[in-house]
Amino acid sequence: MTKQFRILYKVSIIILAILAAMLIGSIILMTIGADVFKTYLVILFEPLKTTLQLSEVLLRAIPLTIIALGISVAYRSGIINIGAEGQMAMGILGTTAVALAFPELPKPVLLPMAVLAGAISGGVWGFIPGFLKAKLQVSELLSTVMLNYIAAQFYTFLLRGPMLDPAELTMGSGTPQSMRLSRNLWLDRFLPGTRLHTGLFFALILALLIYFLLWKTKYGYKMRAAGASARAARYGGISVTWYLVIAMVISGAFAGMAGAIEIAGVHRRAIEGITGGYGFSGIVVALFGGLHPAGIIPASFFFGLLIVGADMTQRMVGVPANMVNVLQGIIILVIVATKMILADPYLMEKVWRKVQGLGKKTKEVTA
Amino acid sequence: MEVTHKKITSLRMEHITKRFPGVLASDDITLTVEEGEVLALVGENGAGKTTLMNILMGLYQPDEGRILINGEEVHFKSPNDAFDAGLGMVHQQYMLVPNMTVLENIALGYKQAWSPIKLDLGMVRERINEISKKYGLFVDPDAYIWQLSVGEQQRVELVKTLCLGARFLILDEPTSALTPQETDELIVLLKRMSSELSIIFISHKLQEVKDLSDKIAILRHGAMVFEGTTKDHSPSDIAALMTGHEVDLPQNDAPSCNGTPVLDLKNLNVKSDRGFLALKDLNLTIRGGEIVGLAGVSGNGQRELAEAINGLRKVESGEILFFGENIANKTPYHIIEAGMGYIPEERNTEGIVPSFSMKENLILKDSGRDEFSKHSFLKNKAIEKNANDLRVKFDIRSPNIHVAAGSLSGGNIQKVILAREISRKPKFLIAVYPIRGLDLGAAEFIHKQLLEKRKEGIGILLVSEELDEILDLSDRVAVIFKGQIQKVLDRKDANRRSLGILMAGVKDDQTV
Repeated sequence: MTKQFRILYKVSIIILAILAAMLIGSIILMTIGADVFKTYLVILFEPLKTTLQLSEVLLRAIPLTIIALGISVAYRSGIINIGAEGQMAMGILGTTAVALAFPELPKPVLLPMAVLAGAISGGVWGFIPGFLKAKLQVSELLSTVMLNYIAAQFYTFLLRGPMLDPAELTMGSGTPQSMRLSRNLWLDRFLPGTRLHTGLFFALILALLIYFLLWKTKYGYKMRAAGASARAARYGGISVTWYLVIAMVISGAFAGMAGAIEIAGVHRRAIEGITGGYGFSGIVVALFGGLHPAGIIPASFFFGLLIVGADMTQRMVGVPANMVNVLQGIIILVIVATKMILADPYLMEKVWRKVQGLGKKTKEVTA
Repeated sequence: MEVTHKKITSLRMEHITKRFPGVLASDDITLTVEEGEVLALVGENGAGKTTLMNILMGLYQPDEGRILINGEEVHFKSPNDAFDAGLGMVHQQYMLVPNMTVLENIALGYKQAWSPIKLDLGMVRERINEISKKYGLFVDPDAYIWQLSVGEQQRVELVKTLCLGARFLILDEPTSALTPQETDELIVLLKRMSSELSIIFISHKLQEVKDLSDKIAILRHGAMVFEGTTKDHSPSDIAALMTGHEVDLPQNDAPSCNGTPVLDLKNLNVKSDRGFLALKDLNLTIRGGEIVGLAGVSGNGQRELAEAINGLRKVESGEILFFGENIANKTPYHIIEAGMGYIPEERNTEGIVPSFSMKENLILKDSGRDEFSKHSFLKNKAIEKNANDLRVKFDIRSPNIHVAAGSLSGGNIQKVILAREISRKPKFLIAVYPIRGLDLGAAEFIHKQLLEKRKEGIGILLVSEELDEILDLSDRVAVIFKGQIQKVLDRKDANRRSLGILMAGVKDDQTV
């Protein structure tokens, strides 16, 4: 079997998967009476047409990338982190708290400190389920989801109480949000006329960092070993539980940083709904990107495109933006199926033989 | 569903060919079994015996060729089709639910007893009695599976297969988990049954092939290399045909040395996964420069012993003195650093990380060592050099050092593990079933390496259920039964018979 064939095989499977997802999506679109072709056209191409819209896509890709990187560390180490949503919320709170407490600090001090505070807050929120899993075998699926709720309530509580903008109180509108954060926290917007901020470069640096951590250091080696086969890792003297906790802390810290970057770059104050499902979409992005930084970056862009495109379909075709959630669900199902197919070397061999024209009497291919 | 009860008077597989990724598992194989015949399907591991039988049972579809029963071509799309045609297979791994009774286990597959609202257990019980009487296979329908010995469980499998209407039996290495005595019983039983039905049995133990079969078919690398009547050929002829050359496994013929004790197990108590004591006050001492064979039927505490010594299982009480230090309940890392080498039983899931490349697996225990990492960064060059060196030295047959270790054959995976464990220069080595499932060539290589290490003065604990392996290599033989050492014999006092009796749990050989 040649290498070209292998690559071609995998690429064509992925293309088939995308087509399958679109096909299923179009059935659903048809049932709500939408113009299928136009909907896809708007979702996939409309956002690319102007700089402003493209910048909005990239803007969405920044938190997605950072969260997905963290999730991939957890996944690779054998623990499934569904708690990024809550970890991000905690990160926002940590950053906001520091920015509110020390508004006068110069930017080179305040910004790193606030981002670090976000990372630590998210990290603590990741540590809890990691520790529970390592010591008491508590399912991380349960604990992370439950911690999401706690984080969401805590977030609401702080925004309506201790962190509430004093101006809101005096003015009496009572919108649950913090006061505008110190300018010294703001990330620069480098593309005039858009909201695109320097967090983009930060995300790319983090991607590089994760690549080096996972594939070039002994810690990454041990984490991946623990994730790929906990039993063999234990046999090899690797403390699986220790690396599990570390991985969850990193995963949570990344979600926390995503929150920090999001308010420092986009909102510049803590408001409700900032997390807005990024924590969950991040899981899909991580899986879609093959749990590898090189895949996560394009996958984030693609999902950013879907989010912006969905807004536009709502305006231009009248298809509700929630359709994107439906598409995401379909994509997850298709990814799982695709992974099974890609992991079957026997099927690949069969196709190879067919391609070669061997096997005179081939049976029907049952996938 | 209508099940026919027509006898199977002939079964023929014609020109069966089956390819797997990178392997030709069955290469144009043709074989025939007539009524009342016993065919022994012989060959080394990986020769394609099980694959061929899985094709016959409808688990795999052949790429080419056809199967004929009573002269009519049949197509089995699934094992159910094969059952309906009257074929029954007893696999190496028994397919029984441990916390159900024999009766319930058999009822699971007995479709006639199922109606939409009720399961007719009485009908199943009648059927079991009928089969038991007909073939002289006695089982207690109300015993729970977990209460039964391996030999009894196998009898349940046989009864189950026959109850479900099998008129043609396929047995995959039926004796591999049995004690020598149980093996003898099984052979007598199968002989009696062969008057009623035809049997294909897979084996690589030549004695039972001689004892039981009428015809013999030998597979090598997926191809049929020989077919003939059993009585015309001696076991050594068959062995030569099986391997393609004369094979002599190396023997430990050096005088036994009197090194100092290096591993001393004192009153060791360890629990199994199910929570009962798998090791009960076990005592054993191993000296440097000797191989102690731990003989026993698997499931008598061997796994728990190996895991406890390596820190992978909690020690309830007792001491494990390793060069004087008590390593009981220390971390696996600590024990590895103390100089313990371990070739685990589950080579595919424990000994390697299957998805990792071969070169990565070779540093599984050493990624943090200065040799392979600097300031926490892995030294790729050193890792690759290490892998290339070991690949040559240990004759690991892989396309390169970057392939996923899980894609290698069993023998080569075992060589990867052995290479890693030996190149780490351990002070002691525990080898659990080191050649199980390997062909003779790989087995020979691994045995030579173990003897080499012994010569260097390293103590070795060899866990095995193959008496030949134990007798070939050991200086002393310890027999384990139900978590205790029955007896420790010097090699000169150990033989198949004495070990077999001890393995079956009889302590005083005078009573037999």
